[in-house]
Amino acid sequence: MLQLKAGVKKELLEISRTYRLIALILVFIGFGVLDPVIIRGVVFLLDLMNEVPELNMSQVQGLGLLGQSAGMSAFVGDCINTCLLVAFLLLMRTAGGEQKKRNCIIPITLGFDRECYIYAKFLVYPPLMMVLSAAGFYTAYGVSVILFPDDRIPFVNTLLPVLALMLFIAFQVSMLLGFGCATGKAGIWVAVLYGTTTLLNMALGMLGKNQYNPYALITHATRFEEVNAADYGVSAGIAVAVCFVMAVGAATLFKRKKLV
Amino acid sequence: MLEICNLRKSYGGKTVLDGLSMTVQTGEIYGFLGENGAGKTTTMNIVTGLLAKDSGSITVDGKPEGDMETLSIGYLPESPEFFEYMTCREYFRYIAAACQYTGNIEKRTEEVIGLIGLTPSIDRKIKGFSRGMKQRVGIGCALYSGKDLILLDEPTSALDPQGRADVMEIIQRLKEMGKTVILSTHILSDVERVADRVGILHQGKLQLEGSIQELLRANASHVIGFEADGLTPALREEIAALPFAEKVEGKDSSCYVTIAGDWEAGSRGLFRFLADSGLTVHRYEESRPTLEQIYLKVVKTHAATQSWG
Ligand SMILES: Nc1ncnc2c1ncn2[C@@H]1O[C@H](COP(=O)(O)OP(=O)(O)OP(=O)(O)O)[C@@H](O)[C@H]1O
Ligand SMILES: [Mg+2]
Repeated sequence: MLQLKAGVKKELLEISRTYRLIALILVFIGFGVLDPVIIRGVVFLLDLMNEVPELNMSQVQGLGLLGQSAGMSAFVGDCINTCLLVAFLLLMRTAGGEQKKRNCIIPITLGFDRECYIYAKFLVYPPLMMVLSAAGFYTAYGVSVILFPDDRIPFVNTLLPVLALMLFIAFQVSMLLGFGCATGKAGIWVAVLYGTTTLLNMALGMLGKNQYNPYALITHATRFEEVNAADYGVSAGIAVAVCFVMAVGAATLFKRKKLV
Repeated sequence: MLEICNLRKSYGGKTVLDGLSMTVQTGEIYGFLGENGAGKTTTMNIVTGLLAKDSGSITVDGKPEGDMETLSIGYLPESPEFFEYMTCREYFRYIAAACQYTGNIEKRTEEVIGLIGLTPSIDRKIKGFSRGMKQRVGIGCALYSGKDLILLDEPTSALDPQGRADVMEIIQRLKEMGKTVILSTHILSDVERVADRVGILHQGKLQLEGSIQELLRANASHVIGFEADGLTPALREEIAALPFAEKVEGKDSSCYVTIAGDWEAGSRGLFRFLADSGLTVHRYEESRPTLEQIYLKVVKTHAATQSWG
């Protein structure tokens, strides 16, 4: 217990003292502000073009319907891409990098429990990233409410999407921590996880089979009206289960790992 | 305290430890010597449980081997890395949790930091520490829990003379506190100064082990040098014919006699001879053998008799 507390404190010091936290806040909040503004800008341009009669804009009329949900969706897209990549890169050190640099050798030879060492990471990073993604999400919501006053998504309709986003982020971060800590090779896993997210999501989407798996949460994060409850529930359940499996699996493997 | 028996380890096809056996007694400082790549770090990593051995047995404090990490040996790795964003005090608090220190943590932390002489920097981040300061933090970690066996892998490498002297003083103090210290280093004069016993690791085995006095007496050549007026070639030959003289060198008025066998008897004999010969002796010095000579002798002998690899 004492060691778990010390471990959590160590991770909190690490993320706050090394400017990682500030960088993460800037990225998540930054996209939260930027994305709705960009969508609003696009809408503004389209409106301008529509006022020029020589241009035949009838095909793009549909785009004129871009509203708050488009602003929010843009943020979700950036959140699971750019923000997540930044987060991955900043977490490489804790997810295995410090094994390579051997910073953990002294505490571990002195008796720091290896499971505590791993669990502390899972107690800090997935929740922290969930909070950050929610903060970004509601920043985007707030900004888009101001920019699209006529087309407002009711607040209650944002609750399930934001939860889906948070769970997806936690799922991804747990995978990085799990695979990274178990193998000590964070860099490779950043590439693998980032690559598979993009590819798998695209492939599943094209096959029309993006349901009942954690990647379906991305869709749920941008769906503000009706929800497929069964799909949502199963996908969220799997994501949560994966987080736990990653934590326990990494702790078990790390326990038996030879560090040099 | 620590007993290693027939330890073997190879990396791929490369044998590093080939039946290493060594014994470290409670309360002693053990100088663990060997050339670069001899396998000192490998041995220490195996003892601390960081590295798997191929075969052999390790007993710590009478307890048969098991999970080495639960024994909580104090270990200063070769190039220690810390969580540098922590201050010295914060890092030691983390170490306190690591070794499950049950006493007053704040008090112990300040005590240890005092012992390693970092009190003025106690609330500074480790990131800004010099190498010598970091090395001391590492030693502090090794002794924090009060465990009795402490392994130090090249604690003085890359330190300036002052830093080295400081570290050696801390090691001396550990001995006074009754700790058992295994000290791996290339600086033989340091070992000679603090160690009780030494072991020389070469070609995967311990080629020589014993107390420094014993080794010096048994292994080194002893040379007496003197300068005397009227030292004729005839006299030189007479000296060379003395039963204890192994070799006579030097020219003009200076002469170096290598003593074979019993050092004290030889020294007495030569002194008597000089007095009887009526020579005027200006300078007379006994050159004591050094650990370095023994070390080089071991390395050379075994390099000549076997090819390795
Ligand atoms: N992970 C590894 N893979 C392959 N070979 C290794 C590995 N670690 C060490 N070796 C080899 O094992 C031998 C012993 O290395 P070790 O670090 O134990 O030597 P050492 O006595 O500590 O040397 P030094 O005085 O330079 O620190 C070296 O020849 C080294 O090349
Ligand atoms: Mg070494």
